[in-house]
Amino acid sequence: MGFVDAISVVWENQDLTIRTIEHLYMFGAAMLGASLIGITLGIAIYRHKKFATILFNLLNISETIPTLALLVILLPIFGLGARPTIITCIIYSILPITRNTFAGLTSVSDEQIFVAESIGLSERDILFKIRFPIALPMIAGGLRIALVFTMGVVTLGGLVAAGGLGAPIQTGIQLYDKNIIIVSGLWVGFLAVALDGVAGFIEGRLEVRK
Amino acid sequence: MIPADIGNATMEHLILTYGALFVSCIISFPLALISMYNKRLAMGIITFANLLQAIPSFAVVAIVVPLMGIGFEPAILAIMLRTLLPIIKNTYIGMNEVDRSIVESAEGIGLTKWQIIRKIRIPNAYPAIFAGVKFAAILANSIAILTAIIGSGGLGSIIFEGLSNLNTDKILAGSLPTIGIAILIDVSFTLMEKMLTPSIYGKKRKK
Amino acid sequence: MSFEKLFESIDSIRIENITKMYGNIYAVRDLSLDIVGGELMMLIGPSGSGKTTTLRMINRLIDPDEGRVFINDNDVSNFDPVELRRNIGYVIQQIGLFPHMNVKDNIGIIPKLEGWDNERIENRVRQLLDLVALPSETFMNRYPMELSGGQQQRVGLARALAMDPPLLLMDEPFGALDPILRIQLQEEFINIKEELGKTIIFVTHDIEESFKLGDRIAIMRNAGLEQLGTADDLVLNPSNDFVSEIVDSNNKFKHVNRLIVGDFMLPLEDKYYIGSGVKVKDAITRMCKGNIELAIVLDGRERMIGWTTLGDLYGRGGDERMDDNLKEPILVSRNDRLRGSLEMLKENGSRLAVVQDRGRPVGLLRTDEALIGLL
Repeated sequence: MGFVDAISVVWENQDLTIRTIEHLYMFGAAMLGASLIGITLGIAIYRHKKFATILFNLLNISETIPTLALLVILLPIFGLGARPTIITCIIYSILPITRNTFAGLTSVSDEQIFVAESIGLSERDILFKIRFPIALPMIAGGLRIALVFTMGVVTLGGLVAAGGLGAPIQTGIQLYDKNIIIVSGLWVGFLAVALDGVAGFIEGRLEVRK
Repeated sequence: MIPADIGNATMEHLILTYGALFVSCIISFPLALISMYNKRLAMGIITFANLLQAIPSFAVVAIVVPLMGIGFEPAILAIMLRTLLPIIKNTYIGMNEVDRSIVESAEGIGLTKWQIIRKIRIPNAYPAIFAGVKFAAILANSIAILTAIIGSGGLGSIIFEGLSNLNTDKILAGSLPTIGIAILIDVSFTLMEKMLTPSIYGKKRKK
Repeated sequence: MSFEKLFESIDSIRIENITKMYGNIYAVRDLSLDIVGGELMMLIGPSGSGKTTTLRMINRLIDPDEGRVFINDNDVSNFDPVELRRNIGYVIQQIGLFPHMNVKDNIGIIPKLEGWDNERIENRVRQLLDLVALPSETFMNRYPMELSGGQQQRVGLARALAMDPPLLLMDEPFGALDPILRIQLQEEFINIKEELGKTIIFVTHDIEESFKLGDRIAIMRNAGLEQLGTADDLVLNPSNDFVSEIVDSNNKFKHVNRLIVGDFMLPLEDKYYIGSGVKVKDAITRMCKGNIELAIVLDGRERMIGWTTLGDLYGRGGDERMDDNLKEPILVSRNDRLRGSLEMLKENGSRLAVVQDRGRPVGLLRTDEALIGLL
């Protein structure tokens, strides 16, 4: 079988189009949820700095927990499918986003704040018009890290009946079919690298704009 | 659930994790050293490898199958593919980022390039290497669970068994130990770090 | 690697038409300079004049694009760079002590690499620490992080001298130090210089340092040499406006009779004052933290009792009080005429007076500084 033929056969048989859409849907939902929660949490911690150490210590622990372990532990609570998958993604992604949001907000120099205060900006204004824009590159960095985590966990979702591109990979392993493994594996890998690349590009442009 | 099974699975899991970590270290350190002699090439390779780190671990584990089949050795390869880069990168950066004035005075008093690496760059890199190996250990622990699906044994197999008929007990029996191991790795590395650091950078004044 | 002494002593160093470019910019352009064996040659000039680049072409940290450097009529490009550098002492402004090694290992690093045994290394390290006035028992096992700036620089010098090289290259070694500390170290350096008998090439941007330390001075600007000569030559016969401005030969002589002590004193910051009841060991700690090596001792009513140096303190018992054994101060007043004060110091055979303002110490007057200032 020719190379291109092999790909289209696998694509058809494994419904890769649908799987891809499922995959991206879960990815999008998780990223959205994680971003909203993460950034808000970051701003909140920034406002109440005393809790910073405790909260970050807690969040740090979540990073060491193996992804599959967390995913399966949530199954008795949330059942199978997309729900536990998305929730696991969010739990993992919160730390990098929150941490980078916090770091970005605190990275603004005292001088710049002083100038802003002298012009007459309120605490709130300063937060949203000055700190936030300056923190943007760091926040983008955090989102990028979350992006890679999320793609990884969504792929695992295939093991818990969430669909997505993890499913054909699992099928390929169980059937010991090299073509299926290669096509679906490389495809999800390509998507992940491409998304990461785009995020990196955006991060770079934001950095330059400063 | 027979404790002996969990015990065996845990042993398999640990051998998998630390075995892969160990081999990764042995390969990574010489590679990082070689990179010091050709920095452009090294940076190029590191940048390229960084991109590949974005690939989901599950895909990496799967792709090893067409290459090496299933079983213990392919699992080690899968884990290594993930852990090589963090260790090499951290070692390289740790050795590279030495204060310019320290390198200059070392050159000026007559140390050869290799002597500078041995006596100055490597000691300087210890914290970074440590952080890299710690990160790799946590990663290895995580992937060792996945490799059960390609026949490596370990705690992952218990989890997968539990998944196939939604047996919560099995699921927990498989996953909780891995979390325990992860926390253990984190804590023990942090402790080791605290113990090792003062002697490298000068003792606090005793008085 | 076995150590070959490349030269027993330096007869001459000849820099012949060297040029070094970075991109389109000349760092050094067609520079020629002769250095006599045994002298201390100062290279002075503003940033970008090429003085540091020139220095680095002598120990081949940089190689010239054109031209050659000869040591004792041997072209240095024929030597292996690493071996060459082991025959030359090198000290830089940022010092560059290795943070993860203690003082003994820092100083002894080259001897160790050359295969000396531990006893020989330790003896040599003690010898060198004595030379730079750091008590060896206290300092051998300290780490750079625990040393003050002045102490670090002394260790840097000791390290450069470990293999007893006949040539010493120094790149603004006192540049990063507190002004009063800088002067103390310069003075100690002058003493050591006699003892060492080495050829020294010293880069600086401070003309007063040049006058104080150098046998001859090379003034550089824009990648080239403006004038070469002794301090007298430069002051009395400056070859152009740039040189005469640097040595400031015009101004101060005109007004010498109207100058007062206050114009020439070195101001004292609070950290230089220590109470009489303080114990010697605590005083040592404070002075190290504050990076100073001289202290004025005050009594309960903040009047001065005397002064002492860190070196003196090391020789005393840790629990003694500060007010034992002090040097008597000679006092002058801020508004006294400079001329009269200097004459008084000369009569008393002293070089240091404490300047008072309304009964309280405010600064130091040192004869050598004042004379330099006059130039």
